[in-house]
Amino acid sequence: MTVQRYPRTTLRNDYVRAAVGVALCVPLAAVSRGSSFGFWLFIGLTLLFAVFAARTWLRGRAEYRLTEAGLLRTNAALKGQAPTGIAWSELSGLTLRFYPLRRDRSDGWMQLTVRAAGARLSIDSTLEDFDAIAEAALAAGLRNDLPMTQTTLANFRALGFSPEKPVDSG
Amino acid sequence: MIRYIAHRLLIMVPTLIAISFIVFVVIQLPPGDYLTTLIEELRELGEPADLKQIEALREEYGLDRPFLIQYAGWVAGLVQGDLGYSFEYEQPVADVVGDRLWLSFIVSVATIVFTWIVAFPIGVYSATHQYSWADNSLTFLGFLGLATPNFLLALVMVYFANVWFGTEIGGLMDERYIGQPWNWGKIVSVLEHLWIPVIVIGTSGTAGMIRRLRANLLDELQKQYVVTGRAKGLPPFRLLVKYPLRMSLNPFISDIGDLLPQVISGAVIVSVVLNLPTTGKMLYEALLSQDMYLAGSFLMFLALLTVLGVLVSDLALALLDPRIRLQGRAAK
Repeated sequence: MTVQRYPRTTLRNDYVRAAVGVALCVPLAAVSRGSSFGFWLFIGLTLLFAVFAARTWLRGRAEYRLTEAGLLRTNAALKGQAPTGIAWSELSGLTLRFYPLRRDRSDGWMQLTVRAAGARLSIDSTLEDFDAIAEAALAAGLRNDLPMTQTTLANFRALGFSPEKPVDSG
Repeated sequence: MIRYIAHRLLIMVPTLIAISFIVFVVIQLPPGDYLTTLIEELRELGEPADLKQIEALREEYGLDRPFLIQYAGWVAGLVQGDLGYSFEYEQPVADVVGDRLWLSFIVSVATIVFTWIVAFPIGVYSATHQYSWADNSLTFLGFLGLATPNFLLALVMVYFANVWFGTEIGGLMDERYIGQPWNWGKIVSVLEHLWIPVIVIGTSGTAGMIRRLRANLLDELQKQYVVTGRAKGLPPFRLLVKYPLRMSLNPFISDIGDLLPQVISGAVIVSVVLNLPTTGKMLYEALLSQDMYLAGSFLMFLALLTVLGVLVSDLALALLDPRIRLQGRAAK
């Protein structure tokens, strides 16, 4: 069993982004008139960056445990809430998306979403040892004969994994 | 997705701040200001300029203040919805602009819709019937459309409408509706006049988009997965729509960011030729007379459209085509 977390550098960068967003939008909202469109626009943007900061905090407290049986997420911030788990044998949905930061798609991050028995887990490629989780999820998907979109297959290939089911030689 | 939106917005807000600064620098770059231009004009007309009055006006308009103070005041006004004061018209910019921004927006959106509606079926037909008689004819028409400047097409249409039909096709509504509040009759009048500028402004964009869609779709149609699908007996229409068409649409989506400002700024000379009550002609005149707040507001409007368009197209691309390039690798 391995335990993965989001690295401090990634979280720190996201906190900085949220802080800069709030720091830019709050003064602009303050300058705008109370009833104007601009005021509500900047208030909305401020709230969005605040939600982003809260989400980053939650991600910082989350731990992912990868086992042969599945993937389990526990979150120290959500006391009293049961951990979310995905059993590979029950895997019913698998998506791998890419979020580009540049038009030529040379920079960005991937997001792996796995679903099973009403539970859903989404993890970004910034997570420690993301490749191991992606490989395990793909292997489970192939074992379960899950239908995968062309996009997901192409993204797995880009990660260096072969999304083709191995031919049974026996 | 929220992380992605936060990333994009965080780029967008400082970008707009930087653009506002550059716009303000650019509109201040020509030597002198609106009042020095006014003195020159009066001198050319042989009328003496009252220098005391000019100084009083300079103080009143804040033109004697330091650059950064003027900039801060302008940006603070913009955020509050105050676009500034037009020296030329001696009115607030918002009053001067009036319906023009809306009319520009209507003409632009109608032009984009026209471009898509015409370019899409023609581009698909040209690609799926490559080198046929119809493809060659449409390609010829496409090159003709690309090579014809919009203002020339406008002049030709104005001339022939006058000679053949004895009618004026300029303007965007009947004269009796100009400056009047919006009502059903005014809307109908705008719709009746809209098709001419839409065709004139949209022709070159339509031709360009036909060429690009045809080229992209031809690339996709020659890929192995299409050949495999065809060999396995997939119906041709389903095979076309399922993947090649979707993939070839990416440039359409990524173009959204450039399309709106291109249509608006590209329509400047057309608006002069066709006498359209849009922003183009007014922007041109404001730049000439150094009516800085009026010109600055227009330029910021164009910048806002560009940045919003890029944001919309980035979000749409992330949703519709979440693929990484095979030679790329996700960043950590």
